[in-house]
Amino acid sequence: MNMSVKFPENSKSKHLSAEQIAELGQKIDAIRCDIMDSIGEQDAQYIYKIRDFVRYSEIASRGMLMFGGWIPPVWLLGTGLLGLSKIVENMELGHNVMHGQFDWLNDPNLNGANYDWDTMATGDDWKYTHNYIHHTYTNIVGKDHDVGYGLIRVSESQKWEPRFLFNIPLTIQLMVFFEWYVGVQNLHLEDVIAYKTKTWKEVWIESAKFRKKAVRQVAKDYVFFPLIAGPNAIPVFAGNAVANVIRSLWASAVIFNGHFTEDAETFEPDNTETETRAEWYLRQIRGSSNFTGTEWLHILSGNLSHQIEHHLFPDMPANRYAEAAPKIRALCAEYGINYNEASFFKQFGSVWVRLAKCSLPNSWTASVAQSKHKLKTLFSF
Amino acid sequence: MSHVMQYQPQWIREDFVDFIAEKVNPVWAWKKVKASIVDINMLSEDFYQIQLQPNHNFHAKAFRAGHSILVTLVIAGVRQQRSYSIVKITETRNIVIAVKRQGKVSNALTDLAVGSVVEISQVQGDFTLTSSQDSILLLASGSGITAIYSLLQQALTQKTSQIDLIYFTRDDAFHTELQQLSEQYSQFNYHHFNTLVQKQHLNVELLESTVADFGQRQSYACGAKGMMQSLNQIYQQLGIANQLKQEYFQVVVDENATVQPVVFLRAQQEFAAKTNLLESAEQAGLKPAHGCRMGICNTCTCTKVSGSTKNLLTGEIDHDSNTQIKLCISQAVSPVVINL
Repeated sequence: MNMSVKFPENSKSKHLSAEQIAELGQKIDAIRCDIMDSIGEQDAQYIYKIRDFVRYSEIASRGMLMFGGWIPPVWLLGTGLLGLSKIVENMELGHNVMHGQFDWLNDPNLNGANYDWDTMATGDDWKYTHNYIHHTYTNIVGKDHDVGYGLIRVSESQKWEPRFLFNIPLTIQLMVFFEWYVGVQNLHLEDVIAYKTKTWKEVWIESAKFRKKAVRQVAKDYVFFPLIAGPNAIPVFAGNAVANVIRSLWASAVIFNGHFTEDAETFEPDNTETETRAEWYLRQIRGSSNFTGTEWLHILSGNLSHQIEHHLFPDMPANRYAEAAPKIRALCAEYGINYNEASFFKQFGSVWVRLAKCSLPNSWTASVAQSKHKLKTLFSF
Repeated sequence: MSHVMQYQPQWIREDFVDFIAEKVNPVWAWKKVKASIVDINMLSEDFYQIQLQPNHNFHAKAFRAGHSILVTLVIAGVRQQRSYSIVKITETRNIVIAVKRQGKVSNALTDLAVGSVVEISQVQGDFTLTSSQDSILLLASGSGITAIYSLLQQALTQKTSQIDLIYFTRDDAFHTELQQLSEQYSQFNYHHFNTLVQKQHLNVELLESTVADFGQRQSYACGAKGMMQSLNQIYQQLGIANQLKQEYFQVVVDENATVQPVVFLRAQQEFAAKTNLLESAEQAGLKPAHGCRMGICNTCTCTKVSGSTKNLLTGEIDHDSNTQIKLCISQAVSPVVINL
């Protein structure tokens, strides 16, 4: 078999011949062309509507916190709305714009190269770690830094280390401080802390851009807005902090659901040099997972609920993924590829099972599975 | 790489400020130049003169005859730009442009009602008059007259010794004004060819018979493809191409040509592109930002200032100015200028 990337053997997806993969690739290209040809005014209206929602909700929520932050129900509402505003800005607006999905509008304010979002990560760093590394080397262990963020173990192909015994608590705090972790992702702090292949001095030099962005973010949410609120400084400070955490929790949950679910596959080793476009497509499908839900759930997740379609067509306006999804699902059924899709909670549950399994060395989990099997056969009598 | 600018977070987002400002007054903006249409005047059936009143961000003093502005319109949700020569700037610092209905932006612009607000750029261009008072020759065809008319007015005020204008047109736009000027100023000779009445192409005989000493004069030309091509041939054959200053308003594309000159504006580098722009730039020793090299990651996206490129994935040809292209999947099909 001369497949470029070795696919896992215990897969729910059928093995395809090189001809079948090439054929699949052509069909995926056709689906893409169909949709991209019809991109136009309605997509422009959609993204401007989303941007206006972000602006109005930010103005309203900051207003509530500033003037009524001392009244508990107003604080709750303002904080919740600010969290929501930041979620939509990061997910449906920022993430998608930075993929260049709306470059065709020729609007410098919605241009992938210029856009800088309301979070710790600079647009530049994000485009490297996410657009380039993650989307090109998707789920290749040792290449795609999103496989565990250098912090947690999400695949049995990742080498086990004692620190992964704390996989679950590490993941929880990763979720709480997610925007900070994404901000420093490019610095590979694990190389300093765990592997000692890098020094703090190097980190300091490399982090120049991140430090500038972090100062801006901290000054905005924790100095400027509390200060101008005068007597409401404390509720504003607290509201901003909680809103940032709400956003971090949600963003990380959506992302985990896209790649860390039970059947989302990881790959090794990296042979992407010789990988064809069609093989790349197949890897994207097998390494990603979707979750189902209502329209607002899709918007809040930046349409990353259609993670499979997003990975196939990262530069397609995300509001069109819902249109591509049934076509891709049908194609997967035709070729016997597992189209990994379930409800938000089912997918999120399977993420934690996977994280728990990965906290132990592979040999232990294997023996646990064996004993479980033995117990089952014992009690079946 | 010199073109990589130092990252600076946006402390205050300009688009947010403008969003609030335009709710108060649609012409207001922090830095952007916006203008409201104060007058639309028909010059001929499909040729309109439009007067724009810009906001305070517009630097009217930077204007020199021959300059143009970019007008941005949102058409079917997409921002489209086109450059228009400035006919003149009035005493009240209003901008006058002339627009021929011959394209997407021009049609939409002439359909706008008085009072509409459009985004424009500062004045730009290098199609300007030299300050000397030596005799000049002006050549225009069709809507190319707008830039030439502007040069003519400047030439008349700076007392250029002899001015000849050859103007090919199918309508009577600016014809009356030009006739009046030729009666008023003895140094100005007006040669008008209405090509609907008599078919007339530009050739060396015509030049010799109308302006005998054209070979000694600095010449300025703006017009349609046919005239510009003949003119270039004549001037090249006579070895006086350096006396010709020209402004195109139609791009000439040779889609079969394989090697195209490409300019990286900010890096001030020029190279010959044979394959996709990213690869060609690298072969020339440049290092533009890039990522996946397959058109997905958007790292190499940049602004194409002018020229035509082919999208290697879709085969689409993009002729527009100031659009976004991905270097790794774009091939030059004409000389291209990129803002890198």
